[in-house]
Amino acid sequence: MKDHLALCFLHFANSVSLKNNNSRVSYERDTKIINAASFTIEREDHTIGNIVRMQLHRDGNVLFAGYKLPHPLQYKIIVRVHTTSQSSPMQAYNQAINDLDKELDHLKAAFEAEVARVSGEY
Amino acid sequence: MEGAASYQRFPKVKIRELKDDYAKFELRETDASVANALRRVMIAEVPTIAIDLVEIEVNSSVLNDEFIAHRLGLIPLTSERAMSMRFSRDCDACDGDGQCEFCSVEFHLRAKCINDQTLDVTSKDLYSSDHTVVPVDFSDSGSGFENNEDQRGITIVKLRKGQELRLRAIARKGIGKDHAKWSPAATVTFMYEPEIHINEEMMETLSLEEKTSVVDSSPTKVFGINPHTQQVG
Ligand SMILES: [Zn+2]
Repeated sequence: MKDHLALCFLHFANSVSLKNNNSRVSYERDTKIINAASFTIEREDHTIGNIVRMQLHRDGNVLFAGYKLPHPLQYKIIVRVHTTSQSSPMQAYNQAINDLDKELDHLKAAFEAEVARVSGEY
Repeated sequence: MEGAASYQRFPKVKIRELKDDYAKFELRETDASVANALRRVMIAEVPTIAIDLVEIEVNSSVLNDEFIAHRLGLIPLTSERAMSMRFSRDCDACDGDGQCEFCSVEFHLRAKCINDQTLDVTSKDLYSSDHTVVPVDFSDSGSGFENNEDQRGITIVKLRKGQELRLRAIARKGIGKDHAKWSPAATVTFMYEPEIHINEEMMETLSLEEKTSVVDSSPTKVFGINPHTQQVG
């Protein structure tokens, strides 16, 4: 059961790193606004949408970041990003995903170390 | 492109309680979106194994076939193997048939009541083809499920004299998003915890009576008063 919790972290870390395997992500530039684009992520929902959005908000060059679930029966999300001319939606998105990926790798390691510490106490 | 500022965080984890079926931990230096994503993943995306296909040979019990199939699906199975197992839908070995060793585990159940005493058919009557995937035994989990006199597992159906149940069940890997029977967690919640700092200087200006009323003002008794030093903490 304790292993299972660690497994939750592992699975979570895996599911985020998968996002970059582009077949599941498509990119569409905005036709009217420069440095604005939408990323469609297939087979994902609020779980990923919200953390990606919040991570994008941490980037000072991101002017707007939002996500939507177009329809409850359509298993996909659309992440919209608008950046300054110092950056680009693609750059900001990749940065956000990489940072999240590393954060979750760290979280998994931290959790496993903590489980080892607590289990060792008994 | 490279050399762009990194916004990566290094969250801190501290486990407060860890039991076989319960865990509570602190998560610091990240935000609610990560905590919520973790919560959602634990509920709906961590794979487990559960009975998914049932072939009933004989059923003369009072419950109909699909009712029994549903009950079988809800029985928790030990799922350590789930991560190395394949999802039936993308298993090459059996063309998504979901009947091979890489993506399924077979169970058999045979029970017949032959005397006047009602027979309880339980999860302990399920025979697994794989000793690593068996109904979870709650009797030693220390969670209050134990010492129910003769612990006989989870009741599936009760049989009276002459009634019989014989079936074959296939357990498969799945996730809570597809069906709640694959969800590994009963509930997962998170909350912000307030950090209370007492202004000691101002507290010292209060009389004992006023201090007592501060302590009593908390509905959940977060504060206490030291009887010797009269300090509120
Ligand atoms: Zn298979």
